[in-house]
Amino acid sequence: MTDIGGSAIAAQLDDMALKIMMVEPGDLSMVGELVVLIEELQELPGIEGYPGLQRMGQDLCAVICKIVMTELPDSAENYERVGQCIGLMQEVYRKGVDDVAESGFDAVLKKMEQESDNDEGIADTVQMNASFAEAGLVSISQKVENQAQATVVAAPQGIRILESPPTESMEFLQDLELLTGFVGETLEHLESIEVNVLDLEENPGDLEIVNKIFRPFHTIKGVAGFLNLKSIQKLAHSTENLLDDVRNGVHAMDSGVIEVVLKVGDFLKTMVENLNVVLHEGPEQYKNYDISDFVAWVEAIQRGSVVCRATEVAPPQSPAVSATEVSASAVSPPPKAKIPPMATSPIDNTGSSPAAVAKAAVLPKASVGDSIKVDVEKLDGLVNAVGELVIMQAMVRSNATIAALSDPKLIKDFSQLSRITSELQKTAMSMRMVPIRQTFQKMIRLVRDLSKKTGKEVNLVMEGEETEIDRNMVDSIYDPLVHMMRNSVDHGVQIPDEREKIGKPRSGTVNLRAYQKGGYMVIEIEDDGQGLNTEKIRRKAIERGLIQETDNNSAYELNNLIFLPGFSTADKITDVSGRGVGMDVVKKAVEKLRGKVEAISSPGKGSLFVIRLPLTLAIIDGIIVRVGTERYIIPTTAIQESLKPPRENYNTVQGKGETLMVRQAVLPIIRLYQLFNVKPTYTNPWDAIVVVVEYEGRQRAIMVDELLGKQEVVIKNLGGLSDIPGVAGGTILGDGRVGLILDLAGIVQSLSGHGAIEAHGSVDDVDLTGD
Amino acid sequence: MEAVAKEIQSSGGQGLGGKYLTFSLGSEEYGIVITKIREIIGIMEITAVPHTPDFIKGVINLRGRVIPILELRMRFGMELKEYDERTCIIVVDVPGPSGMVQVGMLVDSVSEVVNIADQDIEPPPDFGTVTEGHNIIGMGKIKGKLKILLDVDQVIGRTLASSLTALK
Repeated sequence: MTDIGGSAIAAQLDDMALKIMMVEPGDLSMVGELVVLIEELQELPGIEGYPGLQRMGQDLCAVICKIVMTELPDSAENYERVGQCIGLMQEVYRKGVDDVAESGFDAVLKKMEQESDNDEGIADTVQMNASFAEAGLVSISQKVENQAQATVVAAPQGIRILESPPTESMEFLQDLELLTGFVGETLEHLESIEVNVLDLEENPGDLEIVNKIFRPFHTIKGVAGFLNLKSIQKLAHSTENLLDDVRNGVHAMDSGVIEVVLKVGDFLKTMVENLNVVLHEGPEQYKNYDISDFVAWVEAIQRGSVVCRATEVAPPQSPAVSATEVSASAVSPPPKAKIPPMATSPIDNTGSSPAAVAKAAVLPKASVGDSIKVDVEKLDGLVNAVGELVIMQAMVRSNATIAALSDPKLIKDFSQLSRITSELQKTAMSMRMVPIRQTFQKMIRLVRDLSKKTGKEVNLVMEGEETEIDRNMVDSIYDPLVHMMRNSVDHGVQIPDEREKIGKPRSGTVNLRAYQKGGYMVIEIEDDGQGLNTEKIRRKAIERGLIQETDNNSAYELNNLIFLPGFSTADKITDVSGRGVGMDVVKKAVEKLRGKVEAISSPGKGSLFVIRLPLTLAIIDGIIVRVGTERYIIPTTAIQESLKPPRENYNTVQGKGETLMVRQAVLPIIRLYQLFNVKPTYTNPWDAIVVVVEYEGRQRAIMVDELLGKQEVVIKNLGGLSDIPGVAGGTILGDGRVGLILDLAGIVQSLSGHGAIEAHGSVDDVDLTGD
Repeated sequence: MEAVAKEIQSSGGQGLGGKYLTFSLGSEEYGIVITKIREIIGIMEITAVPHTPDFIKGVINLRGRVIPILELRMRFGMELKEYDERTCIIVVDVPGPSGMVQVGMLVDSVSEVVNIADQDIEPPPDFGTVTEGHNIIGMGKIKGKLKILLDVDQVIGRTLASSLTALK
C-alpha cells in the first residue's frame, strides 16, 4: 500500500544530500552542519524501523569526524565518497531493503579509511590549489621552513580548530546585546567586502574600491577589539595592514591580494557564524579557531614573499612560472600575461564579467530609500496580529445579528473597515518580502570559483535582482539554485576550446533571471552550453525501466525525467557536482516551497531551468468545498475545472475503480468523504459536484457536496499535528471555524495503490516519492 | 523505572510541590502543575481531522491559532461521556517535534487550584507497565483525597509524537 504521508526520514536524507553538495575541502563549518544532520537522522521517530540506516549513519558520522580531526584527508575525493554513501543510504531507504552490505556502502567507507594522511596526499585541497595556480605562484613543496628572509611560507590548508580549551576568557559573552549586534553587522560587512573584492578583481586600479574594502576591515578590527574577540581582531588587523599598504601604493593590487582577502573573508565569516551559534546554543559551542596560518599568509603577501603549495593543478611548465613572483616593487598592473594558461585568468577584461555585473547590482543600493532594522520576531508578531485582525473583522461582519441590521451607514462603515484591514494586511505581508538580490549576489562568487575550478569561462548575467521574495523562502531557495548553477557550469557550458570549435564565443553565458508573473515568482537559469543530452536521458530511462523502447515521449518529457530520484547521466562524478545525488533533490526542495521546476533544453544551444514559486508561503488562494458538515480548501492552482457530471459519463472498472469522462479524458474519481471518513450529503457522483484537479501531470475527479466560494486564506499549521496524509494545513474561515487545506500530493497518490487507471503509461506508475 | 522510583522515594518527592490545577475524569481526580497551563476554555466546535488517532478529536480556532484537541478520556481508555456545560478544554504548553506547541485537553470538569506540599506527594505506583508509569509524576494527597498528578509533557507531548509516527 502506498504510504501517502510525507516522511521525515526521506526529507532528512534529502537535506543531507543537499548539504554534501555544498561541502568544499577546507570548509569545516559545512561539514559540521552535515554531521548535525546525520545526528538528527538518528533521533527521528521511526528510525528504529531501519537499523541498517542507523548503522550506516553512525559509520558515516565516524568517518566524517575522522576527516574533521585530520586523521583522514580533507579532500574532494573523500567528500565525493561521502556523497556516494548518502546516495546509497537514500537507495536503501527507498527500496526498503535493509541489506546494507549489498549496497556496497561498506566498500566505499573502507576506501576512505585506507587513505592515510601523508604529506604528499594533503596536496589535493583543490580549492586552495586552483586559486594559487592562477595567481601564478610557484609550487615547491608543502612545508618548507625558511628562517632566512622568510621568502617561503606554507599557506593554510583549511581551517583548523585548536583542540585545547581556549585560553582567552570568554569576556565577549558579557554583553550579549553588543555581541549580537556585532555578529549581524560583521556578516553584512563581510558580504559587502566580498562583492567589492570581486569588483576590484575586474578593476584593479580603482582605489576607491580598495577603500571600500579597507573601511569595513578597520571597523571589524575595532569592534572585535572592544569585545575582546582576540582572534577576529588580529586577523582583521593583519588584513587591514595589507590593504593599507595597497591603498598607499606600497604594495601592488594583484591576484595574490585578491585571493587572500577573499579567503580571510571566508574565515572571518566562519568565526562570526560560530559566535552566532554560541549566542543561540551556549558557550560550550565556542570554537577557538587557529588563525596563525592565515596571519602568516597575510603577512607573507604583505612582505612580498612567494607563497607556495604542493599542487596537482599547477601546469608542468613550472620553470616559466617562476618568473611570476609577486614583488613589492611592481606597482604596475598585475602580470596577467604570465599567468599559466591552464587556469583561466579571472582578470579578463574582454567580456562582461561577474564582477562588472556585481557592480551594476551594487549601484542601485544607493538610490533605494531609507531603511531601518527591525527585529524579525517583532515583525512576525506584527504580521500574525494583522492576520488575526483580518479574521476577527470578517467574523464580526458575518455575525447574523449585525448582518440583519440594514443601517446604510453601518454598511458603509463596514466597507471602509474592511478596506483598511485589507490595506493593512497587504502592507504587513510586503514587509516580509525581501529582494532576491542577496541570494543572487552569492551566485557571483560561486560562478567565479566554479569557472576557475573547471577551467571554463563563464559570464553571469543577472536580471531582476530587485524582485521580491518572502523572507521565509530565501534560505530554502539558495541550495537548489546553487545546485542548478553548478550543473550549468559543470555539465552545460563547454570548455573554451570546444566552444570555439563549434563556433560559439569562448565564454559561456549563464543568465539568472527573476520576475513576477501570474501571481508567481519565477526564477530562470539559462545557459548557452551544450544542452541536455536527450538521447542519453532516454537510454538511461529505459535502463532504469522508467520507459519502454517503444514509448513515444516528447523531448520535453524526456528532459524532465532528470528530476526523478537517482537519475544522473554524468559519466564521471566530478568534484563539482553530480555527487551521486540528482536533480530530484532540487525538485523536492522546490516542491517544499509549493513551487514547480521544469527543464527545457535545445541540444547544442543550451538549457533553461524554470522555477515557479508562490509569492508567499503564508497565503493560499483556494476554493472552499463542503463535504457533509466539514469544509475543505482546494488550492486554485491545482484546479482545472468543476462540474456537475452527467450520469452517462460515469463508469466503473473491474467493479472497483470508478471513472468519469470529462472532455474525452477518463479520470479516476476520488470520493473525498470516503478518504476523510465524513458523512456526505450525496453519495452518487451525478448528484454531487466534481472538481477536476491536476498534480504532477496526473488528473483526478474529486467528488464533493457543494462549492462554497473562492477565497484567499491564511495557512496555519495544525498545532502539534503535522504530516497528516491528504491535509496540508488549516485555516480559519469567516465564521471562525477551522477549515482543512487539502494536500494534493497525498490525495492524488491515494489511489495509486488501488489499481486506478492512469492517463499515460509507465512513467506514472513509478513510485515517485518512494516515501 | 525502579531507579527513578527509588530516587523520588528517597528525595521524598522533592521539588514536586507547588500549585496544581485539579480536574476530573469520571470518578478520578487529576492534577497538572499550573506553570504548564495556558488557559481554560469552555467546550467549542471542534473540526475533525482525518487520519489521526481516535483520541485526537480535531482542531479548534483559538484566537487565530489552530490547536489540536486531545480527548483525555479516550487517551486513558475510559468510556466516553457526553459533553455538558461543565466540559472544558485545558490548553497546555508541551514540547512538540519542533519546539513548544499548544494542545488542548478535553476534560469533564475543572475543580480548583491547590497548593500541594512536597511531603504530600507520593511516588507514582509501579503497576509494572513501563509506558503508563511515565505519565504520572506522583500522587498528591489533599484533604484525605488522592489526586493523580500528570506529567503533561509525557501524556500529551510524547503521545502526539509517537502516534503520528505510527501513521507513516
